[in-house]
Amino acid sequence: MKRNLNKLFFIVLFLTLAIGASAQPASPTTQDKPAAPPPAQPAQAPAATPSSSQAEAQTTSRAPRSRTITGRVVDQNNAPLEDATIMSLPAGLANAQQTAMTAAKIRPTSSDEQGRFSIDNVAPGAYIIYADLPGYIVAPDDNEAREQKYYRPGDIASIHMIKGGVITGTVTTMTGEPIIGIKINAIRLRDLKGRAMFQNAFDLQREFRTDDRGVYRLYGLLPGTYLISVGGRSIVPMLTGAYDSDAPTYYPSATRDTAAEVTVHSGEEMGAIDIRYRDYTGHALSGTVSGATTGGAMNVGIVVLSDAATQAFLGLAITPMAQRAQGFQFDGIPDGEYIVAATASDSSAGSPPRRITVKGADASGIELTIAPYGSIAGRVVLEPAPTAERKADCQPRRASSIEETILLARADNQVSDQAGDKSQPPARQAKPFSLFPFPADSTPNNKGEFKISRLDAGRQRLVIRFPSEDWYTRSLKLPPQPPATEARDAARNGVTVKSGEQVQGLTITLVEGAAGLRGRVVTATEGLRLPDRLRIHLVPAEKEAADDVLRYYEAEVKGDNFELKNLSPGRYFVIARRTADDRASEDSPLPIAWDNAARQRLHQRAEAANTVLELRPCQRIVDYAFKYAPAAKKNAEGSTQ
Amino acid sequence: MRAFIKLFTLTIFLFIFASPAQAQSSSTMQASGSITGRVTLGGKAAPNVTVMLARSSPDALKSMSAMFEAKPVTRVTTDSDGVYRFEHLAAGRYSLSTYALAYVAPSEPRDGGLLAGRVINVAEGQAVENQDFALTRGSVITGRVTDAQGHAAIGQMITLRPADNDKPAPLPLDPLAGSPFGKTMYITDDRGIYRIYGLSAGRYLVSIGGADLTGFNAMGRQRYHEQTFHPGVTDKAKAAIVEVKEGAEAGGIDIRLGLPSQTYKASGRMVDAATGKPFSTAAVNYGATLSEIKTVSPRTLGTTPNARGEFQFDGIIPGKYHAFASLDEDSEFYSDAAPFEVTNADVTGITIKLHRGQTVSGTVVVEGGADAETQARLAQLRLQAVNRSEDISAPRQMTARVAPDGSFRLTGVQPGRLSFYINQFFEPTKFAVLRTERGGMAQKEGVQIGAGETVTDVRVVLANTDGTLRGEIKPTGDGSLDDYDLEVKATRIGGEPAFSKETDEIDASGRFTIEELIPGDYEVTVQAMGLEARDSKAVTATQRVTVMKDAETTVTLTIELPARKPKDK
Repeated sequence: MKRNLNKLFFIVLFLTLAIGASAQPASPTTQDKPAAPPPAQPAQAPAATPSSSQAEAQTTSRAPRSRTITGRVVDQNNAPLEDATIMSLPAGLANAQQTAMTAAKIRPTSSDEQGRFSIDNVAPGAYIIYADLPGYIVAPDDNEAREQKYYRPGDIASIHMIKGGVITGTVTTMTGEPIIGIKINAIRLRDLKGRAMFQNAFDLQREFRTDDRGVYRLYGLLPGTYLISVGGRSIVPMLTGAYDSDAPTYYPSATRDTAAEVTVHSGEEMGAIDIRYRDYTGHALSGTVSGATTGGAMNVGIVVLSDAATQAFLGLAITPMAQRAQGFQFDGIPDGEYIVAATASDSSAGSPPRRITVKGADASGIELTIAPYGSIAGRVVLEPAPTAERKADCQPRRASSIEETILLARADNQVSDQAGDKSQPPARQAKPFSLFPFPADSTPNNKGEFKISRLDAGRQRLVIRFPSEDWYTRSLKLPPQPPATEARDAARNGVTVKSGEQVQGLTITLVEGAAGLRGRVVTATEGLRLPDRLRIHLVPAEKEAADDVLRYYEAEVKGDNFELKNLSPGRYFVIARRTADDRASEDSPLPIAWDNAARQRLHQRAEAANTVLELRPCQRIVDYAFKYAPAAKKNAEGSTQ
Repeated sequence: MRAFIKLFTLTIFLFIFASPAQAQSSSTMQASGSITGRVTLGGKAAPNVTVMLARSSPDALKSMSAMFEAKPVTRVTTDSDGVYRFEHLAAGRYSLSTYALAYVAPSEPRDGGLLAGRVINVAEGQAVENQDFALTRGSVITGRVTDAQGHAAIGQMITLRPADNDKPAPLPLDPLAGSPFGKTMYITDDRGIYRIYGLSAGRYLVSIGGADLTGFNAMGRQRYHEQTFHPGVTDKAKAAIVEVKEGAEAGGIDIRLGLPSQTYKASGRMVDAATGKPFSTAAVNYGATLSEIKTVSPRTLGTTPNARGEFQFDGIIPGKYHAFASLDEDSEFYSDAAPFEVTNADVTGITIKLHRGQTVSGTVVVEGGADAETQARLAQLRLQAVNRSEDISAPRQMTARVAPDGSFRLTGVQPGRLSFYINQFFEPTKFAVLRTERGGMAQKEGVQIGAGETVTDVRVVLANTDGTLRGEIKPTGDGSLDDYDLEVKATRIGGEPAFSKETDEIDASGRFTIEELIPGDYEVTVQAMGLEARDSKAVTATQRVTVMKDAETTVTLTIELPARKPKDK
């Protein structure tokens, strides 16, 4: 049965574009007709692309036996949902070589009458599973997890989908005539918990328009608070409607500043969201893209216009890739704050985002300069636990292979060490909307080699997601920088990547025998409420480890529970702290340990509080109770302490 | 077939390459052109109708860069006399249409194949008048689609076809029709309801579902519904015909789906033809056969074989297919296409053989030599090759990147006749293949590649496509251009391989432009077809012209057009 474009079709299109080789009809030969889809980008062979044939032949000795990911799609009542499209995307896609083999690792399938699905013959590695069913959405708890969920061969995925919300209404002219075939835009500002939400490339998947009565009906909406507007251009380039060059009119009949918000819950219908259309004329926003030299003729520059406050997608412009400046222009732009950035379509290069204010006039002469992205390459080394430590309780609970490790680079723009006590994390940097809807993750091949690409210039921190709870990180080392002879500590200092720099030789040492700590936070005084945004921290208690950034761990306290995994054995101080107010809105704040000054302060306080915990190799504590006593100066709750 | 490929290509590009926003060349000349006309509804003045005017490009579909050019839109509404007026227009090419989607507008040639619009070239200060539109009231068909359990079928696409093949009524253009984001009004909503509007009065068949063997099953769907007609039958003969009168609404056109149909699995293995050993280092795919071009249309993203070269496809709709290895450009192998047929059971034992192919290399040169700038363009070029063979062969993209010294190399080439071309859509390089030589001899039928042969002396000669042809069609006789579908084709005389370009973009005053021609002698032919399909005898007129390098050549084609019966009403 034919279906409208859905989320997963979007993925496939993306991949077809990126990977090219996979899905090409043969090419007729007349010269003057466009014939074949894009040829594959040249294989530029990143140093560390897993070759699945090799992976097949020589996985690690304890490689997982299963080669299947199974799962079930259910609704909120646990009833099976059939015909949901399921797609597994191997982690590291952003960094993978663009080959037919890569494309073939994406295994779209669909759920059966019992809601079950099975993805067979999957290579060792970690996979993201996307599910799509028209009218339904993946339950926000899964969908909006702060960390991307990965599945490995042998895992059983349980996918909860719920009915999306509906917003419906009529669009009329000021004199009450229906407006037909006008585009409806919905931007989700916040989720139901009030957390700011940022639009994802998937949200562009569908376009809704009014019918012959002026009626529109947006469905399959994630719960949350929306801004609804009408007018403006389609994401589709060649199709135009009469309202394409208009600035949008917001519900109920307003500009952005005075727009009314609409909140919708799962399965709920918000009716009568009627809009009276005003003929707002916007301004033009134009400039040039230059500096693009990479790639072949297939490569184009993509200029993305996004809203500065919400990161919402507002438009795309395409420019040829050429050394000399190429023009771009957006029209119908109302007064406001915007971000414009350009990237190469092969993801090899990009421009820094530019913040643009439009106020009462056209904004022209915006110059975007594309520079190649940097990368970090190296090797993951896995040290087995010493035999002596291999007691009965120290056996790996789950067979894992090195290819299942996820490596991410995170930009670390914290203020420098010298800033002293007053150091504040910088305000959240306005980010442009990203057309790349997947995490920029990387996975090592079976030899442990990896490469993380698409990095902006600046200090990057490695974030490691382990395939099992048995491993922890011992060290991150970069080769010595002559004349020095000592390896550089990339855990403490991060990895500084210059524009376009290909950093080589990062060695990540993982060790078996990790400990785990689960528990809850209790107040020192009966009846005292725990403050919001509490985080639990483990701070190394051994004197020589005070500056070992990898020995610092932190986790959010949810309700009163917390969980810390993949911990290095050793002695720790345990301390709970509130997240600073100015960081409260962040999805996941940068770890304190990355900031040298903040880490030292934390160490002092943890040492002073002196709650000590010893973790033995492979020890899993599940019932730890931490007594929280708020610091005296922040005595807001009337604590006795 | 070509339409399919074109759509496929567009589909790929649409998703990521969106809103056109190339900076338009802001004319410093005075913008004093105008377009006026009148809109009528059933013969009477139609007030309050939106009329839109967009800047347009003649090649919106012919090259990637043209596709993304800005198309700023302006709109006006008609006054109480149905009159509209666009003023202060800069000289240029425009696409004019009503945006009254609930009405039926007379069909216009589509601008760039996408936007229904009347192409108007406005000269400096020109007042274009009498651009009238006669609308009729549109009809509506609406209903609800449910599955076998009675649940709403959400996000499913309705197919609407005229019931009587001899009297086809034109279907309304969805505002987004033709795009993967489009067909919005043909899609059922979260209640299973659809509402198709702006229909011509007539008799229609409304259906949903159906399996397209040549389609790309990107979603890996495991089940499908047979084409099911209103009210819920799969036998077309039993389908209830929906008749709508002008301006009327046919409601309750519901469709009840049956149970989904079964799909099957097919399995096999890949082997190295020379050694008989398993081949596991390539992805494997299958698809329906496209007999016209002797190849296979890939149906999925492919799957990976295991270490023993074994593979399995699932979700296969009964039909005839070929399985093949999906090889990358740099592979040294080529794949056989292994036929299999799925009827009512799973298929096993498919064997795909892979062969070590030939290496073909040579140089690319530009006729008449290349200056530094041309050489730089050359070094960015991708040369495409296609292998013509008598048997069905596996799809294979053969693309060679041209090195700065002009050399190229292809590997894994199947023996046969190899032709070279440049994909004009993706390569805005303004080159075309003029001829291919081997050992100094022109190879008109393509380069013959023998089994076991290593070919190193191919010379691909390119020409710059820097000629432009501007023309005008002058009708004589009693007929008017409005009554005919026109197409102009320029064919280079003596081209080997043949080189031609055509356009059906002829504006109301008979003017057209064909760009990116190899300079040389051309035969320019205009063909005029009566708009009613029944009197399909085409009238043609031909003119010879020499297209010059870096210059615009003009041509006037005089064609005798007999008078046509006035169109309906």
